[in-house]
Amino acid sequence: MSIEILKRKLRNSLVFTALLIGAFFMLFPFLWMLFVALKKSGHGFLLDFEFVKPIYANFLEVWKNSSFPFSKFFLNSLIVAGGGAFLTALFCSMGGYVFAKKKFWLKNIIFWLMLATLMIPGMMYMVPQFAIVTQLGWINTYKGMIIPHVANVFGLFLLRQHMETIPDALLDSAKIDGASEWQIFKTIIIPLSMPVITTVFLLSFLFQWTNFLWQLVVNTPDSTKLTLPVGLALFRGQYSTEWTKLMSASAFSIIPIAVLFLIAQKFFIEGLTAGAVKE
Amino acid sequence: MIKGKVKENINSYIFLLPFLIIFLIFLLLPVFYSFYLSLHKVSYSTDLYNIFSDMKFVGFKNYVELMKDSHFWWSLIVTFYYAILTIPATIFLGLILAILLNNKLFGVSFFRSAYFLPNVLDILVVGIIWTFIYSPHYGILSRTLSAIGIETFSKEGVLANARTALPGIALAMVLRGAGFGMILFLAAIQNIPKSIYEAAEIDGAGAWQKLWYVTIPLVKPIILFLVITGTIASLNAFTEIYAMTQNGGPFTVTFMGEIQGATKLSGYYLFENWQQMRYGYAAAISYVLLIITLIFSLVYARVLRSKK
Amino acid sequence: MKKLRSKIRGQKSEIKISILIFFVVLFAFVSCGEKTQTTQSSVKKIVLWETYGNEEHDEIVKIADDFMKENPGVLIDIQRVPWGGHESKLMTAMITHTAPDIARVDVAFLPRLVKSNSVLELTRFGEINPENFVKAAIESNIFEKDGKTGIYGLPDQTTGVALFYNKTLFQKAGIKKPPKTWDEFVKVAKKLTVDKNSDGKPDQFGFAMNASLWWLFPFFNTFGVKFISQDGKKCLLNSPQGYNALQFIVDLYHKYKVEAGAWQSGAIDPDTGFINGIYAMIFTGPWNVKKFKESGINFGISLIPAGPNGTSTNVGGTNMVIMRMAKHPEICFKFLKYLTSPQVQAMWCEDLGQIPVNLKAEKYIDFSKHPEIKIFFEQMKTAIARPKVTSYQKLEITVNPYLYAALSGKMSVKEALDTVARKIEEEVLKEE
Repeated sequence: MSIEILKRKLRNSLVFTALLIGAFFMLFPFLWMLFVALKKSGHGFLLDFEFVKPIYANFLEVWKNSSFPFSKFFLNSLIVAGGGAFLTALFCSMGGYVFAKKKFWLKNIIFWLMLATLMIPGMMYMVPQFAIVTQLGWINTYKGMIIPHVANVFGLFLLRQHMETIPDALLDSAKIDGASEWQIFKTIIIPLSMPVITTVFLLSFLFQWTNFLWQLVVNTPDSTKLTLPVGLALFRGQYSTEWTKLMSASAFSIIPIAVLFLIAQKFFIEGLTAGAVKE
Repeated sequence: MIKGKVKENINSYIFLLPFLIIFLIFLLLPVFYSFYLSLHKVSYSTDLYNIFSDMKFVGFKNYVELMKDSHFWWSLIVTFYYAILTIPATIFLGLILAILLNNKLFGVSFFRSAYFLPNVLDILVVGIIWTFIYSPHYGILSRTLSAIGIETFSKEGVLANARTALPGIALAMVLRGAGFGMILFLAAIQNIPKSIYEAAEIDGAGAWQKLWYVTIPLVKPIILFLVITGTIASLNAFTEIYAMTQNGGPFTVTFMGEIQGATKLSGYYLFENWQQMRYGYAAAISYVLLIITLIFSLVYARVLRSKK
Repeated sequence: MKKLRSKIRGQKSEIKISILIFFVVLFAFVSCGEKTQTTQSSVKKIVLWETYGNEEHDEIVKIADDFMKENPGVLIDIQRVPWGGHESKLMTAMITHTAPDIARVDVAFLPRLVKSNSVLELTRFGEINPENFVKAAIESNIFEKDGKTGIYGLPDQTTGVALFYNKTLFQKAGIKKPPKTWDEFVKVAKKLTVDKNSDGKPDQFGFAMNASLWWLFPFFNTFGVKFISQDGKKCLLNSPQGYNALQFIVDLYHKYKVEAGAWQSGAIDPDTGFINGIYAMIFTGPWNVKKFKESGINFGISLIPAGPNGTSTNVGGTNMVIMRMAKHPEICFKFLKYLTSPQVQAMWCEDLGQIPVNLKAEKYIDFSKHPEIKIFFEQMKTAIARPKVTSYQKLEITVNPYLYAALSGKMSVKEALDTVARKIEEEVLKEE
């Protein structure tokens, strides 16, 4: 028996070491980014330990830069990414539900049309979408930044995949209890799909958080709704880029999402185990 | 009975409506519009203030031109190669990680976060960082290798060598993207009832057999999903090329009598045309790409469905 | 089943609360953000889009303030656009008629804007004397259209590269003066290419370069290469001068082995290598002076070495144009004239250490603050304007792969230039 335990312990520590090494490799770019962010101007590329003094000077410069009102950009980005991700997750869940569990007219045609739009590279949408947004008078608004990217076909498919695995018996029994469609959706489908919904939320949050070109285009330069990516772009000059400052500015924009992920992570692991309760 | 059907239809459409409206306006309309664009030509003298009313109708000329365009064919080959390099590796790595992290281990939630974290990083930033790592003479890779006597990368680095440039980019992107696959696989694996594994164990299945006969068949939908999204990502790949190469170089490959960029993927070629405001030609490129991807998706769906 | 229900119920309230909080916060932000701006109609408002860096931005705001003091009733609204993506932004803005009145654009964008009638011809609003400007800078604004020559923009910034050299490394190698000709350049560069740890590979290089067309113009121009024939139909790149120029560039890397290979994808760029004392000489422009000074290296600037055609350089920079739909074009013109006037340019030069676009500014400038500007000013007088093709970008995309192929040894110089000349005629010079 004790040999069994010893064996398992040995195996676990081997796996642990392998995972640690793997984590180091995968996090390497991230660590390197922080490393570069602390370095002296012009030393970004090099393998040396020429750091700025004080060590946080690059961060301070980004923070204090007058044409980079960080808190304002940050707030705008938060609204755009948060609002966009929330609406995406909601609409995709609703759509995913009917695609997974219902039969309706034109279902297949709509499905293929959606698949087709997924395959056209994003930049092809930009000019027509911009024309539409202008027609609607949505320039310099949050909705102009958010709405066009809310219909996330990707997310819908992901949710559909998952919702198909929810047993029909569960839905039928609720129906017999007299639950309405909306109640079924709210009390059964959503809770059971929470891990995937969270995934969709996170992915759309990420997408909106870094969607530089679109946010640049739908805001006039004097807009009060400018976001972080647009602000960050001001660090990339016409002739040369200050790598060290760009990296510290990027670190600024990444840390909030990293934190968000760490919080959500806990939530959806719990969700995962809840999802495993079956029959 | 008919009444019930109508009701189900109405109910379904009510649920679908918010998504559908936005989809129709912001995605489907532009797609049809792109087709219209692909039959037109924006010339240098087209009025930029009224570009869409002033462009010239040319019929299928853009498509004909495209068929004769060696750069386009080359970009397709490179894209195909890129897809082969990235998709299986991402899936494999994601699956391995998910299986390992499905154990009760010390620090499991740290590892889950750590492996997903690279997905949070901007591709542009990741690309630039990898350029630092890959650079010749002074990059950490070439230094480490030349310390142990391997001089392959000391002169050209990874990205200036036509043979290693694209695999180098692919490696960076696989390491960035594997965490996403891991999360999806993890969710699927945790949903597999323990009883199935127990039954397999009773039948005398080892770890590999359990993986091959239980886990993989049950996560097949995820694999299909990752294959399709991976194909789309390869066709859309642009930022990594933009960040890590000089306009899709190195330009040391000859194909159809022309010098070609070793990393000039279709997405990047599309961008080049789009940026020059050749909207008609760019639209034609994206339509051809669309058809190719649709065919691939159909094939995948068939292959994975039939292999039960 | 019961367990599930209760679990679901527990989660449900949690979700509800978080959704509620989320929306409250969201709408609080949205409602406080949507204040409408009111502008007085009596004030003539001019919107200007610029792509400057931080210091330049502060400077142009100052200039606009001064202008507004002199011209009551005019409001110049300076708006900042990131350099990356500014062309897409301007394009989309034009399509929807939300473009500004004045825009700062790269010189390479001008032909397209002129050809498509997007910008206004300026001499109809007042007099412009091209003689007053740096020749290569104003020339990028002069176009012939419908048989008439016109000026379609005014330069706001002009740059070109010069030779930067590391004085410390020069002293170590016992070199007293920067090279004046290409022959001297090769000799000096050989001395500066050193294998310090004697592992058979040099750790310090005499020279490092970028290899896209724009960066190689100094070579082509000093060798007297003409790109396009007078009538604009033929490409003259595959001339004896062209062969010699490219051969020389290729030799720097392959034959003399003094160039570091900095032009390869993923290599250490010339700026970084220069700061770190790995590259002894590079070509770069005034924009790097401040950065280099801050890094503490001891460097000097000198003219690009002379070739058969003397010294010369490339031209970069930007022009200010008045957009077709500008509301008060005459005021826009007045502001542009003000911006490019000798006094304002002298101030611009002194405050920022940049080359003035107006030659008459020279007598107002105190060069002691930025002695290097004098060299750049001299160098710019020798600059040769870029070939005037409708799409400069297309020219770069067409030429660069072949320059790369020649440099990497994939193609011979003659083969590369012959092919590229044909391609330029077929793809760039042909009207689209």
